Amino acid sequence: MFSALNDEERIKKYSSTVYKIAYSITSNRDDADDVYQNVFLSYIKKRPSFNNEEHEKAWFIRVTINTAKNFVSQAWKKNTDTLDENIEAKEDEKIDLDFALKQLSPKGRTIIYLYYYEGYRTDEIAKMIGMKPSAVRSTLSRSRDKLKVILEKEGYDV
Amino acid sequence: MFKNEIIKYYDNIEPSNELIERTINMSNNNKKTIKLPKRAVAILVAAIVMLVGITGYAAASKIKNNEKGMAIETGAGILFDFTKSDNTPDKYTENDNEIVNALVGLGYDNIVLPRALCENAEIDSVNPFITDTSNSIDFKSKKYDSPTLFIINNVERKDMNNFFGTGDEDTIGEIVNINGIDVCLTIQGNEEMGYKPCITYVVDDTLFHIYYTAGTDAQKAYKSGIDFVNTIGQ
Repeated sequence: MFSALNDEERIKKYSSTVYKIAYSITSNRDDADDVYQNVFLSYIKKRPSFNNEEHEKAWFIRVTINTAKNFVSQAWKKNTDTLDENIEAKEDEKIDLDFALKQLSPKGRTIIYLYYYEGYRTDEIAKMIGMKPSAVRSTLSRSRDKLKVILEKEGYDV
Repeated sequence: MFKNEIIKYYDNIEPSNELIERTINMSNNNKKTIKLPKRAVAILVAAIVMLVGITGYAAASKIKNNEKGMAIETGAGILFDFTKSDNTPDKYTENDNEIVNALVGLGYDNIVLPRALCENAEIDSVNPFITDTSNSIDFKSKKYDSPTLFIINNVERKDMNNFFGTGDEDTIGEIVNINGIDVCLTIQGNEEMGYKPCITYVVDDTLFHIYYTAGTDAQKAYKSGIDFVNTIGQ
């Protein structure tokens, strides 16, 4: 039986997921903080009811994506994860996974996070972000390949 | 190896404790209600009774279930405030039909449509609308008379309010929450010209406005509209 949590318990339960998605999309902590608060404020105002935990988590993921999209609206519309090997870091900028992820589109980063970290299938991800499953698969593939190109060039074993 | 690096990376992306505490405090503050002392309540009630007595019987609202204020009844028609409606769906419409396929091809995502439209209509023409990211689409259907969809994408919620006023002083309707979103159904027209169920809702940053003609009986048009709305996102 699905039991209800109070607001504080629910915020603590989904804090990590909401923040990770917000950061995936916005790539900076200030905007991620704003998105995070807006998501939980949206929950408090709307008080949606959930059938089960899976439904509840999917709601928080979708609302976070939709809230964060407003911060990156033009970039979200583009699928710009081409295999550009001529990516250059700024002076003193370290080329690591953080740098590599920031070379992806917000959509690409979100799909990478949901697939590898949260373990969702591509058809599940497609429903969450309103894309065709085939588009999710191709974005995932391009994003993954781009990350590998950047990291292998710096000697990372991926 | 790749997956492990992704997991290690995201393990370190966490909200600060200060942000979590601030958010919990925000949720607690939203729960506070101001309780008026009994004497203040008595004065307030007396003032309302006097006001109603002066202005006469206030016109009954023509849009039912409008407690959130999504529909603004102006006396000359309906305007919308989509900042007051639920706009995140439980699920998006599957890309298993020609209409969704066409919308995806036009660049729209976050598509939620009535199943009744998807199963009973085919596209007749696609026309440009007000902005670069909007279209009007006419359909052919054996079940519905001349359905039309207006779809507007990539518009900020507060700007959507300006796109669609609808109806006139006789327009009736109701707000229905279906598939997690608030949908406004209004019935417009008259016996001579026919009644049109008009359906308006927002999904994320996309506005949908659909109407069709449903005969010359207002009650039947209303029922047709409700049945149509109840298939949204199904």
